[in-house]
Amino acid sequence: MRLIRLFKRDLAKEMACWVDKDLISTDQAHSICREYDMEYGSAENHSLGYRLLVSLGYLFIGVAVIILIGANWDEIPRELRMGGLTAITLATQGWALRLYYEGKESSATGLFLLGNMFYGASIILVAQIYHLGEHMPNEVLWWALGSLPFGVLLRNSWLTLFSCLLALFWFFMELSSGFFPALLPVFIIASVYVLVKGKQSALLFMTTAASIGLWIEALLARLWVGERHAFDIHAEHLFVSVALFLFAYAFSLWLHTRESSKAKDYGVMLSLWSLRFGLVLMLVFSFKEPWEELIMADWNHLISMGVIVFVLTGAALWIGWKAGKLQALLPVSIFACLSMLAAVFFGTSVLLSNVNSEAIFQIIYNVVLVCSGIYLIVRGINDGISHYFFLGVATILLVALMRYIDLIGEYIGGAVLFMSLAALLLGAAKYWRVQQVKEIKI
Amino acid sequence: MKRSRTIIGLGLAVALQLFVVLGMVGKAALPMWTGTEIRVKTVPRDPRSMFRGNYARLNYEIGSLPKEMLKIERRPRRGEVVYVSLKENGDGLFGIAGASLDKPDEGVFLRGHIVKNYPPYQVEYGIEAFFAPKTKALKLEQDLRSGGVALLMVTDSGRVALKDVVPKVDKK
Repeated sequence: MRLIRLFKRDLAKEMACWVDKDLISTDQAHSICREYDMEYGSAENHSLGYRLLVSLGYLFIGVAVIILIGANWDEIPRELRMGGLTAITLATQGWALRLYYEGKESSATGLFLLGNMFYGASIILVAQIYHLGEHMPNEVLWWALGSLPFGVLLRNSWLTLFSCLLALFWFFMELSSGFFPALLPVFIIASVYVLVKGKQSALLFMTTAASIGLWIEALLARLWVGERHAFDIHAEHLFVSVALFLFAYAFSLWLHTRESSKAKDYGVMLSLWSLRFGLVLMLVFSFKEPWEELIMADWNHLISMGVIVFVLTGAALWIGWKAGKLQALLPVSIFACLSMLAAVFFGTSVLLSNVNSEAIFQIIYNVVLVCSGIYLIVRGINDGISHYFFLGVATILLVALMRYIDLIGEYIGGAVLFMSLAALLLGAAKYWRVQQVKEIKI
Repeated sequence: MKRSRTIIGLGLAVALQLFVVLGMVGKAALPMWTGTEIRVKTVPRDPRSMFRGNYARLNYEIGSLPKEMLKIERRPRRGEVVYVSLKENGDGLFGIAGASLDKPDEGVFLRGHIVKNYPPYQVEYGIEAFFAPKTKALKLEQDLRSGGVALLMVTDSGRVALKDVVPKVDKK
């Protein structure tokens, strides 16, 4: 998957230069732009930047009003304060509605955003006037819910993103107060609707994906609440996260096989972040301490976790198979499942309690990280995908840096590890050269 | 979706926002209109809310619930609703008489949520903040350092609103 999809505006701009230099015809430029679901000449159109600046301006007006409320004007009668702000909210929304009626959708959207900020300010003012508690999750929820219909009705990603970010803020407030944020799926469903029906939005897509993952993890925390009745993070959550990212990776591969350019773009984004998550997780587990904690974990929810991981991994493999991309997915899935099984096995087995398994896992993960780096470099050069190449280089350099700071098995052990990694890198280089020579001869 | 239907939908969304704001005002003001005034001991401290400006954080004696007051077999959940019955002490202030997960049939009681679910349980009633301009909030903290009295309005269903915070007057 090529990151060029995420920089297609730059591509469109470049094409305008190519057309000027007669390198390609205007028809060819149009055809290439169609391939990426773009309009030729859109790079010259600065409406996106204008809309973004106007939206940010409105957002700042809203923030200014909220800060002004914070000054607490208690010398002004509460009825006047409340009535005034409610009237401003209604006037702004009414004005926006009128603009929409006149067909000025873009201007209306910006004003709806401002109206939603004033609506939130009204809620904040009520909470301030009536001294409503120290934490205000319910008020934030009402703000998010009241703003949501505008994004959905207009299929506008910015308005929907505003509601979803408020909902995520509520989600964390609610969890920290000991409540389960059961209503988050309402925002997820609304976001999916806007993503499918509305224009492309990378931010809304990634926020939706993150919301789905967070809500599933919170649901599990609710199910695994235990005797303390607290929403704790268990070791099992990590394995479910791994399975969720396997699923996300498989889903990204499936999205990339779709006809729609929008689906392909979302596929690239999801794949990129799944890959980054995988590498960051492996870097974390290239240290000894996380393995020690994982193996020492209580594992009180092993069966339910096993079922969820099995279902998610099975679904991921099925999607990968349907997309014809099982070859890319299978090695990652097998490695992830073997790691999880081994960690649980060493963590729960009494017989193996004396084995220094953390060190074994640490060495395996360092070797796998370097192998992954080599694979990414080779794949990046062979397929001409620059982000794979740079990700591979960054991975190997990071492993080297980490291991230099945090030696495995003191100095001799560290030196042996570096020698092994060097042999691996030089061996890979040699193999690659041999393959290239063979290809040239053919 | 037809344009006219979208416009109707947007109009309804604006109406929903107005309804939510009015509903919140009604819910918050209801104890002020229909409730009975009681007085409880409190100690304020002055932090700042990200949204709502300066306020005095109020710690209540009735916010700390001893284990023996809540007679249940299991451990309460965080966030679980609890009804705390109050009785008037000799000094005109109200203190805890008992607590239950079920709504009491009579007497003065407050509806709260358990925020610390191991003894002594900590209960919040939504009256833990008194919003005021910065200088007033700081002065309140100074004036009431040795303790103050919160004037609460309580409805029959246990919902409570904070009316005012005043200095404590010692009866000798």
